[in-house]
Amino acid sequence: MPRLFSTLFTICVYSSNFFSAVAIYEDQVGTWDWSRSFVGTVTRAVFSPSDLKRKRAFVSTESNVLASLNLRTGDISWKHKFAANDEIEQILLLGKQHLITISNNGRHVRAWGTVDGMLLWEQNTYVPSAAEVEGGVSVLPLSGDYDGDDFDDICVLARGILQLRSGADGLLLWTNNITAMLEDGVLEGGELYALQLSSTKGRIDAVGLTAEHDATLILNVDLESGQVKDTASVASKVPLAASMLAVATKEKGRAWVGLSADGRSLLHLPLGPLPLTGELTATKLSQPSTELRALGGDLFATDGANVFEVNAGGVSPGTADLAHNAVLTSALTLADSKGMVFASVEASSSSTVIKVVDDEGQALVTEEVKLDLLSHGGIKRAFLNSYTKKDTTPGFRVLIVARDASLFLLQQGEVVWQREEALASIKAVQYVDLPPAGDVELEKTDPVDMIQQFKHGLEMQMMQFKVRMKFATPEESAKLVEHRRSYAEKLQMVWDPNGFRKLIVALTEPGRLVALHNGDGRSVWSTYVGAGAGEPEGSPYTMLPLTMVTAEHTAPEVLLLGPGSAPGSTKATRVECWHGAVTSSEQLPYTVAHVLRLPVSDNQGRQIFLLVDEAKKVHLYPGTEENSDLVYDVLPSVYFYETDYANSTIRGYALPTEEVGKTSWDAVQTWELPFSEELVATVTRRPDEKVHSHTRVLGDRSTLFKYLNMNTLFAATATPAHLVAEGMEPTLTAYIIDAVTGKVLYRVRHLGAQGPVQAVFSENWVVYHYWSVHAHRHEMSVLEVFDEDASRRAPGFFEAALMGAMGRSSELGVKEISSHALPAVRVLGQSYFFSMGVKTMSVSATSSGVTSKNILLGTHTDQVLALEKRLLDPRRPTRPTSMDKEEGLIPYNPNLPIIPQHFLTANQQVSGLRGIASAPARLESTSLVFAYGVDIFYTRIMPSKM
Amino acid sequence: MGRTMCLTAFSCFVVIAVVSALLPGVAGKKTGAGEVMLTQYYPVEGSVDMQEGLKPANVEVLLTVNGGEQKKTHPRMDGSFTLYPYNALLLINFGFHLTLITLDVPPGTHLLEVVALGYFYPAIRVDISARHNGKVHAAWAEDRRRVLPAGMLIEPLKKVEYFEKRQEFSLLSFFSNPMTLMMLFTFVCVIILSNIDPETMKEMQNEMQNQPGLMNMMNNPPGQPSSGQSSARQRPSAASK
Repeated sequence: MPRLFSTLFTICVYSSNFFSAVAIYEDQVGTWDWSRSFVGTVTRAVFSPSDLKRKRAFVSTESNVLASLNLRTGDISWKHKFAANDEIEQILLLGKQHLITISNNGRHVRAWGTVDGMLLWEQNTYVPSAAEVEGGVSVLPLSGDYDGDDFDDICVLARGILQLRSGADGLLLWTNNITAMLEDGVLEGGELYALQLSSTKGRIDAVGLTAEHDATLILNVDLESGQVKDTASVASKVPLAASMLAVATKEKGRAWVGLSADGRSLLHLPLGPLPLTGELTATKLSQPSTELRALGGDLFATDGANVFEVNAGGVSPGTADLAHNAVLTSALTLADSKGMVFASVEASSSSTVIKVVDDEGQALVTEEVKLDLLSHGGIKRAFLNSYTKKDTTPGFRVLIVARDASLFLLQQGEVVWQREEALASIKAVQYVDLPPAGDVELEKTDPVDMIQQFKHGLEMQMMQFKVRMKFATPEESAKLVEHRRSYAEKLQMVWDPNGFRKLIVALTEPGRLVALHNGDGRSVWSTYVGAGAGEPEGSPYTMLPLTMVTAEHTAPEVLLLGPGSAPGSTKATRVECWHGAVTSSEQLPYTVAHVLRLPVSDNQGRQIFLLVDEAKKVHLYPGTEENSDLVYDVLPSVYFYETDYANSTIRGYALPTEEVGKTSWDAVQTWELPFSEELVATVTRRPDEKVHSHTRVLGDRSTLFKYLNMNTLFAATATPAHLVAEGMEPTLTAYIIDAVTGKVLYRVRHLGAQGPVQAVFSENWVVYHYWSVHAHRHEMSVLEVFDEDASRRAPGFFEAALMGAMGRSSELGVKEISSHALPAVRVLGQSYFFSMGVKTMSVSATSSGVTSKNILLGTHTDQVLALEKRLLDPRRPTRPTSMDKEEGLIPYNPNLPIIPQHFLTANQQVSGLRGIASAPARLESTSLVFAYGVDIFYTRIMPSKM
Repeated sequence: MGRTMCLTAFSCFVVIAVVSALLPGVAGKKTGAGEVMLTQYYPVEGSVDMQEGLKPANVEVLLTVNGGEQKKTHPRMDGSFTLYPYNALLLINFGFHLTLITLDVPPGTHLLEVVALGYFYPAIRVDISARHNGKVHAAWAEDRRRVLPAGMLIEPLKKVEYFEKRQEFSLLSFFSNPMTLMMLFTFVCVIILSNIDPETMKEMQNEMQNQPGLMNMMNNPPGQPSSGQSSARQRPSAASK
């Protein structure tokens, strides 16, 4: 019988050798998969000119995305994710076609087409320089053409380098390294922060501070030649805050304004013709401010929505009556140049009040919108845009960014659209079961019209037939995909026996907890769990399953841990996962550095945790007497380790056992493993992983026993970067470590390899990805650990016969594993070339682990690739024997194949891909895959499909 | 608790002759010993052979600098000429499908990849020599004998199909399908039967009834005499023959 089985298996393996296990047909798109696209928390926004037909808002975000949003619908018309180290610092519109961005400390200046987001030109302002000059990044659109191409030019200031560039193609007209000039003794050293058009035509002013922050610095530069025509410096009696300075421009006279370092006063200097005379005059602020914001024109604001009008005459407080917690927008000039206006947006529990105020302090428009922004944590930023109504009076729209990253467009007292941008920054993901049918009604379902449904079904059958026979129009194909996406059965809100329908609960960076239905990705509920309005910033940093396997009729719960209201405390919030209700919230008087899941639940089925604080004190959570008794038995076997990347060390700790009835203990360090090289990655097995078979039967009928100790840790170290720069040979070392005792079970060195390392640990194997300097290619390696203990070698004949007779032969040789009595292990390894970079790595999970595994790779191209584990098998032979063939081993090839059909994301990308979360369905064949970055993507796979 | 940390990106610095730190295109780095190492930065230009259906805005060009830092840009399609910063190089862009990339990179060995969904472009190994004043040598990363000539035109290796191909419909495969054969056979039978004259038809029907069918077998287990009625009917038909 076993012979027959293995022969069958061989046939299957070979027939499916290069048939795709996860591939789909084009007309199957939307059957199981969906994706949603986001931009992130908006930091800057500019609006398309009002005379353009297509109304767009151009935004840059905290996720480093530049995007164009349709102002009518809120849809993304195009977007670009900038590289991680290339942070967007300023965006501005130049004419109607050019959107200029400046990024990476002012180094890159790029122009993008406003219509389709095409890169028009790209220039660098400087190369990374040894003299790390501080200073502002500023780009100033000039309403003038200096190179004769009938296109307005721009002036760029970055790291003290002032440049005039053509707006049409970014060509350099002149460059002037002002910092170098300052260092040469023309002026004392200093930093420049802002650019402003000068009152003298054809000139600009660059304003800054001296190095000691005790005097202003003003340079007047000629735009034709780039020559500094005049310089001036006026000493200040109080130290000035860096970067908090600006220039007021208005016909009434220009002035320099800055904030003092202590934030208590505003300093003012009228800007007449150079050289400057006079003194800085200080105006005391009623309350200290951390920020001086130039709203535009001669309007400035400090904290608490205090608006000031600044001109050559001095600083005068604005007269508008604004609430202290209001958020102000930048000022804009109205179309018929009636003057400048800005808006204040104020949130209360029932409504949002928008006041549009002109520079005289008069409220032009006051609108109350029924929108509760406090449930979104309050307002973070707001942007004002004006348009001309049909009756030629100005109308206003306001783009509001809430503290939970939600984006709202308000116009004429209504919310035009809203976007849930928190999902662009998912931190943790948890799959949750839905309630059983008829018990908890989560969604109202309409009664089904049978005839309608039948007609619809018939129509779709027809369309499906047409698509199969390839005479469907593109519209019909799109309609079929649409139908597949909205197929009623997968969208139901009830438990299904196959476990395909789940809620994906996602904890996001801004503190919004969102539950997505895995049928179509819609948000079922979302709760704000971050800091409330007025509270310091901070949102939960981790999400843990509290009750996942529960009685059918109680909702599963998750535990969120985040910073508490007092420093050094932690807020523990329990959230029920069917409706998103916060069931309890408590403050813990300690910080949490590590969380340990105990294999013990309390009498309500809630998981008990040990929370470890910074001082390695271990606290029981929930810390009740009852729980203390429950965990008493397991405490002696609690060990944990800590990875210290800064010092390249892993430390192990244990709990003292003698005390009874306590809820907190001081952990004792039991081992330390310092690495001589830099620690770059560690990875362990996921705690809920199911393993079906403990053995691996080879072609020659012998057996290998998988080493399945849960406390096994993979670590990778690499030669530090500075040593490689000095010419040292780079090396990467992979370790397999026992996490209880700190013993190194295995170590392997990869010469000429370096990080970054991405790794995944499952069952008894580790797969890791790194960069080979020697080959100049990406490589992947696999290590498999087998138990070679003497007792494993030959199970007694009678024992084997008995177990076989009982039908439990799979348990043969399964014995307790102890880290304190480590068996001899055999580690098999193999390495391959892989032609793609990898950002994140995961493995498909199935309900009992029978199905073969797929390694899920988040590639550097923002795609998700499923790679069959059997391709990464250290037993792949170079010269396959008949036994190897019988075992189903694929002959070794140094290159891992990339089969395009195995990209789960098919013809789309998950912009800014950061993580992949896989969970088992209840049906063993199927695994659910959720990939998240700036965009999110979901699909389900059948890793063993043949 | 297994946390993964990425190595912070870094790049190698190569010592060259001491050039003024203020010269554009040159950066220095203080080392522990106090000496200043200087690195000259060079442009990398090339063009992506834009295939049909590709939008330049959706195509990304990634450059991994010395296996560490990643730079990202997009190809352009404006047909005009482009100048490298610091007026170092003048390049004329001909034609519609030719697009240009400019990046500033230190000397070393870099990996240049073109990301365009629907097409597979080969990864290019770019060696920039510090000794030969930024001489660029570009070849396929996976086959170094495939050297790209100056101008570095990167052509796609193949079109990528992300979906499994449905089998093409063909008459031959349709008729070789056993299901189809069975259906055809039934159809042919029906035609033949309908063309039989009523006399023969009746005869055949009778013959059929005489067959010991499964129902008959169950009703009349073997060994027992069959009912008189059926044997009575059998006789006249036999007589008529």
